[in-house]
Amino acid sequence: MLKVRIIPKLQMVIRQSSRSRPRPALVVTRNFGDRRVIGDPVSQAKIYEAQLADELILVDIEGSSASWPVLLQSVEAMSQVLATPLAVGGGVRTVGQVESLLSNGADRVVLNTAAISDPGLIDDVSSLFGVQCVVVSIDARAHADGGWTAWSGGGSYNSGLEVAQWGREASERGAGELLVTSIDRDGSGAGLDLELVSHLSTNVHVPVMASGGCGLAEHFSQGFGAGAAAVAAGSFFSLRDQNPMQSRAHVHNAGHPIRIGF
Amino acid sequence: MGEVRASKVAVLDAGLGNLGSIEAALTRLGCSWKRLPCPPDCEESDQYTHAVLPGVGSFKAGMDRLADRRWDRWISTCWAPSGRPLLGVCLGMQLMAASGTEGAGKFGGTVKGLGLIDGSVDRMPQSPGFRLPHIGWNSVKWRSLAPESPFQPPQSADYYFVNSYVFTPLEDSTVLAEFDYGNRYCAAVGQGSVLGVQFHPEKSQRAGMIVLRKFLETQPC
Repeated sequence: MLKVRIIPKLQMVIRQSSRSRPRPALVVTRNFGDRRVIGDPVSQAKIYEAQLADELILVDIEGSSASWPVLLQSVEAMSQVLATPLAVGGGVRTVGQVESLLSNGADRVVLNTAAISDPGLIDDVSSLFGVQCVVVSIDARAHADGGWTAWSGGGSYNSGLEVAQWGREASERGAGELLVTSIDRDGSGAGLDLELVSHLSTNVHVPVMASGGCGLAEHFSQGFGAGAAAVAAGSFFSLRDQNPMQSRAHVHNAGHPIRIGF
Repeated sequence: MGEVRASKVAVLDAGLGNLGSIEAALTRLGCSWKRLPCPPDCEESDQYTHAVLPGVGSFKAGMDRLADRRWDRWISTCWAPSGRPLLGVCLGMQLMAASGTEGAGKFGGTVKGLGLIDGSVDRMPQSPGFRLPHIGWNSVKWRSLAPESPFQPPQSADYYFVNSYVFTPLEDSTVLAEFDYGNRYCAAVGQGSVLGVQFHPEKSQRAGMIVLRKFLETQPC
């Protein structure tokens, strides 16, 4: 039986130093702003693997030309020490960048802003490398009348795209999985936007990963109940005295199939 | 019982995706390996005790790339007859089939595979509750394997899969393990010294490392 997945999300920035090369730093965010540095990506990834994380997502939230080489080095360092699937994104705009990430050890690549401005990128990447390595990430903001719109540029610009329509288009173009993040819930600990998760997952045929708002172990179970195949969380695992193992026990007890050992 | 440290693994680079993860796993297991960008001649191949064919992507593209670099000929005329173990991973496993339908074109038809194991590779039917691709950790039920075989993976472990297509061998006896996703599908296939796994052992944490170690302990037959 296929298991639901719990996925720690590692958000990376670069730390500039006058004496040494720029180095990666892990941060957590709230509502896509208010960053807090919490550690180093590679050592944190090893801890998550030991705690049975089902997969890892590494996102370069600067997505700049300065952070790109640091991202590639981090991906390579992680793939050398991990036996856990790794999805990587942040500032990926071209097929060449996708190729670099994959050859440095990423299993899957996360496309967001570039897929919105140039949806043909999804077709190009999936036809070259396969749908299995394409994740399209949708950052969603709720509006007053109850719907959701996809925002690009790390939550800065309203694309005007309705999330389920965009999700459907992205999956038809070759996204093997969708990652939906509620900007409103990001870092709040108030729980996932379950209506958003359910709205997207009932409108597409590919699996959906949900993120944004997990603050309690039961929030994961709720996400799976709303139709998510995986739930990703950043600050939940980094700041609290919580780890993927404890959340797994809760999800298991709630009746969802999940790995709890081995 | 084979010695993992004594094995020397040929990692076949056919341009079918990232090889770094599997190489890192082999390093962690303590064996030596070499990435081969193109087929060595048969005599030179004798230095390798095991070969691994990793790969992701579509069946058609995979066969085209194997043929471009002449790996198809090397496997069928050089490595397979030597009786030394070959492990196919994910697409690498599927390519061992006689034929596949992925990428054959919109009018149907089939693409010829390596033909090491009789059977075909086809898309899984999509149904409510069973979205495609099949992504994530699934439990694998190993059939009872010959007790003298060193290849005895742990029962009731989960492995990481990412696939929409599955290999259905013609001979049921070549199915070594199955996974369940609406129907039962082939998770591992084996015939003689040829072994294929649909899942990614190099991404399957402890359980996957055990599968790789067991493969390295298998001897030529």
